[in-house]
Amino acid sequence: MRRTRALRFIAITCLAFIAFAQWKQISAPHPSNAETTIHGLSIERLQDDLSVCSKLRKKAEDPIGLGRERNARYLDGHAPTLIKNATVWVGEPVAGTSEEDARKGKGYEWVRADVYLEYGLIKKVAPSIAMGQVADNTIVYKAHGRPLTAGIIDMHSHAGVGSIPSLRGTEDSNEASSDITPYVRSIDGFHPYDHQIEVIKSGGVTTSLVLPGSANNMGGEAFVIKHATGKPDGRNETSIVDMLADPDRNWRFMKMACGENPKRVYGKHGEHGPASRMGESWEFRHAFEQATKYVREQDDWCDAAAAGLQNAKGYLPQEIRWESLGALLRDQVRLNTHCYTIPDLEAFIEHTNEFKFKLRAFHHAHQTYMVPEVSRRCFVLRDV
Amino acid sequence: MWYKAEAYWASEHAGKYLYDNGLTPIYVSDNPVLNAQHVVFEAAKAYKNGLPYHAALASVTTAPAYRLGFGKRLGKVKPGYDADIVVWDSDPLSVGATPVQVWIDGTAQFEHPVKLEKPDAKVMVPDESLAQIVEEPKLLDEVIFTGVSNVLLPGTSSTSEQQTVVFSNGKITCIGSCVQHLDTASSSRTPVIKLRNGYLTNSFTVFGSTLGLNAIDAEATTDNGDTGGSFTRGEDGLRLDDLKLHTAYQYGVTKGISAPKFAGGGTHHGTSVGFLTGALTSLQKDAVFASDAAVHYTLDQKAKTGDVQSISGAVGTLRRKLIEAAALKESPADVYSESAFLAKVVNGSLALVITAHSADSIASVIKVKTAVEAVTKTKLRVAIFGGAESWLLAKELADAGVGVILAPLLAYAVEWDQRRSLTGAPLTNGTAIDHLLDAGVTVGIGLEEDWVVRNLGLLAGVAYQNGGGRLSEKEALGLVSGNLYKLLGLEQPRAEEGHFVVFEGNPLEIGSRVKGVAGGKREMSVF
Repeated sequence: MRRTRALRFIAITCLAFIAFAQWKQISAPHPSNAETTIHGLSIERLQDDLSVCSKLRKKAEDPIGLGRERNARYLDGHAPTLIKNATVWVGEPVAGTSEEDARKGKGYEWVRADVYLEYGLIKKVAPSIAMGQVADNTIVYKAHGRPLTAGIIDMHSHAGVGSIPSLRGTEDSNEASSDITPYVRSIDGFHPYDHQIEVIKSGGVTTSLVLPGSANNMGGEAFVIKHATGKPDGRNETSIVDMLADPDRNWRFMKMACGENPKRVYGKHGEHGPASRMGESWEFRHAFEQATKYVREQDDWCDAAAAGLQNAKGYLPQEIRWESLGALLRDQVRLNTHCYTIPDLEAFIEHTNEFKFKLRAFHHAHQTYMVPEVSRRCFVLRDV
Repeated sequence: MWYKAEAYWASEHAGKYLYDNGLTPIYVSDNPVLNAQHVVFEAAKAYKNGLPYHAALASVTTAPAYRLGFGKRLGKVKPGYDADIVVWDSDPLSVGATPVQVWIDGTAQFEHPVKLEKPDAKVMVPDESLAQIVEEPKLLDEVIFTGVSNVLLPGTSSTSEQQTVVFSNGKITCIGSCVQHLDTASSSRTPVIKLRNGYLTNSFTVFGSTLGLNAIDAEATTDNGDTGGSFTRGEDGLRLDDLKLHTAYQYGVTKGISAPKFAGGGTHHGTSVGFLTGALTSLQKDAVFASDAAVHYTLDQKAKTGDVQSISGAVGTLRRKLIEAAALKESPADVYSESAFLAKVVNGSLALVITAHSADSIASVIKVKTAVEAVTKTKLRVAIFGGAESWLLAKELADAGVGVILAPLLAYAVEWDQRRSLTGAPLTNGTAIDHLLDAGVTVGIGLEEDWVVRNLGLLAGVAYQNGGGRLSEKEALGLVSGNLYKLLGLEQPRAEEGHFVVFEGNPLEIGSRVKGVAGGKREMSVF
């Protein structure tokens, strides 16, 4: 009698288990297969998102100089150039100069030299370079002892985006529809045939940082261009991308502004701000707050997805509105901010510390000399 | 610096102060606010203002390269760097420095560069004494300067000797060896300042700016205001004793001729006033040396305002006013009225200055002058202020006897009316001033924006250095002093009347410093 009851118990337990198992399988969210996850997400898309994660985490680095075989802009067939007999300012003190001495100007000097340019790079700088040492088709330029320097770099320009003579139709330096526009890009409004680009070059400027204007607290992305447009200037083609100083875009650049301009442009009493510097700080902080949230959500997603795609409950959060500000928080963007006065400088430096982003340069900065200690409190300003 | 409230408190020595504090100054253009063609001139002025030479050159090469993340491939002349090279016609930090050729990524950029003749293409030996900054001058009743190797006063001949200049109670009492004054100096406790390479010049004049009419350009409460269609007198709007005027004075600009604005900066309407930048109030003795220096009207795009909605309307109004003034049988009762001043214009005793950049507007002015002279049978004294495209009419201006006050000296086509600006070598053969001088036009330098007042001496220097010998040093200095008075038919308060400047170094060169300014006061400001 006891054995029969035990057997019956086991059978019922097994049946119950089988029923339970079947129920579990039928009520699963999604049958897992090769193309989608258990949450019904495309595996291919999730893998794309994972590669975006590694781009997000990528550390931006200064592009190398020495070690390149050729300048990325060099066009095959362009002849090398030998500049003979120039008085050269190298731009650094002679080897062995201490940092303290260098700061005082010791070790810097003008030197008589020949300069050899090949493959779009400076190949050699020496007291005398003989014709036998250079390629056959080398163009010889006689400098007659004249001073020679590296091309001048202008780190604050609206050439191309604020073409001159100024016309309403070509005025594209400020996206003055809204105060916070980190997502717009100066390159989208850049006119490569602004004659001023040539005029600027005639003053020795070879590279410019083309920034959005200062109407907005957050003006948008900026780009570094060389003043060479089209084939006559040695380019491959006539295009804006071909003018970028760094085709690989190792670094991105951004413009922000404090002070009188944004509140003058946007402040409408009773309607919207910023109407005062107080409002401008709010705009900055509110934007950084949202971007910080955006970055955290991305990081959380990336960590979970890296541990296993099935963990992902949705796709990687991506929104163009916050992408560039997120990149700034990830230290992939070099920020330039226009601020004149002590309240502007101090407030902005506080933002850098509150939201932990690097500021590369204050522009205009009329009153920075009055507050050097404040300037030094900038989040990691000195070693950037 | 005085264009906005936030720019008001600043220092031209900021670069040096930042550098002394271990921070990195970088100079930029904000093109088109400044013409980026001349951004290296910003570095030059930084050097002049005390930033060490190597840091000034770095401020537009290695420092921005590094700050942009391009420190390994831009900014230096070293193997491995991008082949971005400039060969200059003179030291890049010298006044008027101009590229002879530019390479970008190894390609030469100018096929037929215009080259300027510069006899001295040598690089500078950095002057370390420029690191000494004297922010506030001493005010001295008596002072003696020795080592003045160049007395550049009109009417004096140059000598190669070092001379002594003695100042006492508002006047120069001796120029020469002045042995007696030197002998009594120690007993009378008169400071004797030894210069290495001293220059003595007339003081400068700032023409056509809003100096004396507002303190901060963008702040209406500091401003005389825009006059629109009303004809008003500059003297009636004079507002003195502000930071702009003090700074002008310290840079040797002791005289100003300013007209009320028509509609915003760079426009003029009414009579200008000749005044002393160092005066406390307009009631001070000699504070106003010319109550109504000239009659001004504006013919640039800003003329299209109020009642006059077109340039043709503005030209017609100008011609009508002058012809009506010529037809007047008797002088107007109110000697301060527009009619009264126009009566003087048409009889040639008061200058007429028209603000215009466009060659077309300038052509209209010459036509109006001709039309009015046909009625009056008297030559009018007319000058153009602005003049970006005046070079296109250099011969016609010379033939008509019309002078030009260039503002800016180096136009760069910021507006349509200026689109045919000559920006200079290596792109163009000369700038406007070169063509005007060649045609025999009398030229002066005026201000398009007030902050430029500190640079008047250096601008004369650019015209001198880049003029290929067209101007002597005295003639170059005349661009910011004597010529303005010649154009207006006025007497200038000169060195003999206590308006002069003593420089250490040549005021036309970058390494010069103002050592003493006399602006019609009893004391001299000595740095």
